[in-house]
Amino acid sequence: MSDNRQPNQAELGGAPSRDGTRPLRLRGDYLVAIAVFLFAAVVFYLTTTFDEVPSAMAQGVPPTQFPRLLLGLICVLAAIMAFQAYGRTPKKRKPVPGMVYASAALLIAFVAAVTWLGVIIAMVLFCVALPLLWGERRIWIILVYAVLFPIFVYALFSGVMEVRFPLGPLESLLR
Amino acid sequence: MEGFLNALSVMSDPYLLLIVLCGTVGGVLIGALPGLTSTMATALLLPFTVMMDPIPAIALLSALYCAGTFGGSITAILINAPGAPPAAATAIDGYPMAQRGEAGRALGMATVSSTIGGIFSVLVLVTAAPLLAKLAYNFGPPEYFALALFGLSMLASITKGSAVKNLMGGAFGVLIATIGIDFTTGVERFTFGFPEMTEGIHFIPVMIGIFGGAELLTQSATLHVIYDRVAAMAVRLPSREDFKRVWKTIVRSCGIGSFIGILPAEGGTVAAMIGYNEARRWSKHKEEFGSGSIEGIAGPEAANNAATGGAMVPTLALGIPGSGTTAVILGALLVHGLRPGPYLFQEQPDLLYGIFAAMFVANVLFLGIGLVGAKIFARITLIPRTFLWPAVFVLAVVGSYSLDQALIDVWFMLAFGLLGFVFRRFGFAPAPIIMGLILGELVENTLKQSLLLFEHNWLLFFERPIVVTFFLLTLLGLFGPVLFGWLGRLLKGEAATEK
Repeated sequence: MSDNRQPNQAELGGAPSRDGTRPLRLRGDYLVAIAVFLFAAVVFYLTTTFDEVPSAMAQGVPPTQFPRLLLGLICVLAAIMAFQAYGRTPKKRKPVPGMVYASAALLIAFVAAVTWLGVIIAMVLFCVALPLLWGERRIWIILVYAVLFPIFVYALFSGVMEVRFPLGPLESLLR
Repeated sequence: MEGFLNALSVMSDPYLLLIVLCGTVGGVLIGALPGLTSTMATALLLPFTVMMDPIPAIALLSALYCAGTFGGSITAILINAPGAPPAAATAIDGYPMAQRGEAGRALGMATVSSTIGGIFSVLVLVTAAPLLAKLAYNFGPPEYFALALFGLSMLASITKGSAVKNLMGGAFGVLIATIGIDFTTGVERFTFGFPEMTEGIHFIPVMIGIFGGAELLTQSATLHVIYDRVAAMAVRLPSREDFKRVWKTIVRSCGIGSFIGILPAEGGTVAAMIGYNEARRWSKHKEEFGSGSIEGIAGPEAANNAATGGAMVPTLALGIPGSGTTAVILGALLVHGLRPGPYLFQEQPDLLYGIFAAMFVANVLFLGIGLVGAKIFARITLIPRTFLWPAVFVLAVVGSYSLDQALIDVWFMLAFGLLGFVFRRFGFAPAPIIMGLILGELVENTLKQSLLLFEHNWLLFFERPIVVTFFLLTLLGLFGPVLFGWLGRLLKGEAATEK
């Protein structure tokens, strides 16, 4: 399905627009504030797990102080944000399309594949999978693209910039 | 003048000229593609430049920055989708002009006013940056701390997102910068036992992820959107009549853009919006704005390109980024082992001349490209997103890995890409996080050095005039938008009562 309407700024880059389509602006701010407080609590706990400062260095500012100062600042700002949202009419949330989740899963799979299958195989698979997922149906173009583009990128980085990539099963073949 | 001539003499090197040409063409192409911004492009390109010498590397990124800012206007005019955020204001009048068959005239005006704004900003850069750097010779840790704080406070007034959220983003960025070994005590912080994290999180994968990865996910949500394309006609130079009508607007926007650019954290988008508003405010043909006014193109285009040179002033002279893209360029300088600030002017004059010249030549080149090739460059938007974005992400993965040849950087890039998308959903702009990450080390280190210097007596900060000045500017940066908004409402109320 496609339509001919123009995208608004919120769709293009997530920027706020004035037509009321800004997603999760109001009610979401409470959620954000709660998430920020939880995050701050966890990070504060982590600061308590830092190693003891060696006595020779003890006259300086403790390593915990600056992160804690920042956490305090972030919490104050989160409270202001929640306060600003107070009393405003909550707007209808715009759900995240399923395609975003599918694309995110594919990105994760790609990075995992780089680790286990090596960069070349992972790039080829990704260059086939994402166009297909996004609705591209010209199979021959996809195949040509999925072979030529990864080869070009590998040759550029490996040959010109001398980067040594993980190659997975192709390791013995290419090195 | 001497500096400017030295800058031009640097460009006699054909290799450097070729690099700048590539940066300019690449910048216009990338700027023209909706979703691909010059900030993202410089972040993606940064890993490539690590292998280059510092001068061509930074010249390439600078040229891309200038040309990318201009490139956004092509698609803003032809398909009503600004290729880059600074061109958003250009679409308001550019697209209506294109719809009524004046695309060539609109593109011509965008090209010429961009070039004038860009060249003016380079002159500002050549003049102001060394002066500002001289001033910074007297800066010690307390002054740098106050300056960095001022830079972060300016995040409150950038256009994208709310002031509070921008500040939260900045603070989050600074928090990320604390990961790794604490430089005064040697204690590891938030490393979770990973040896790769003892030196902290490399800011380049974070930048690539937060701009590139997050944008890919945003694009995946808008696959159903089809752009209405207006056919590009031959680009025309502005007529004498047009030029007579807009020259004051261009001059005003040059001043606005350069000034806004120099302010830390503010960039071309803010400059363009103000340039547009001021063009409308001073125009004798206000009624034409929104339905295809030539001044509505000249104003934002001159301003956003004038902001490019302006934004480089604090970046080079003080090490405080003037915009999102200059934050990446600052990162590139750090990757090449160069610390921006007064000593850069003393120790690396060739590098600075290279940057000045690259930006000047890029502005001249895109005048030619815009006038001759805009019609061709507009065709870049015909590349299907189904092939463009997989390529972008492949480059993001390979680029992140190639920095230290470490897979953990790729995972960080991915994590910040996903996080960046979530942040956008909740109204957090990516640039403040990057600014915080880049300035984080400076803020913490100079604070600690200052406290050691003052023997933990915080009040001694207020005995240094430069520090006090920056603190006052910080307060203005934080509360200025609220204060000016309140003043504006008050004045409007008074005017309504008088009527």
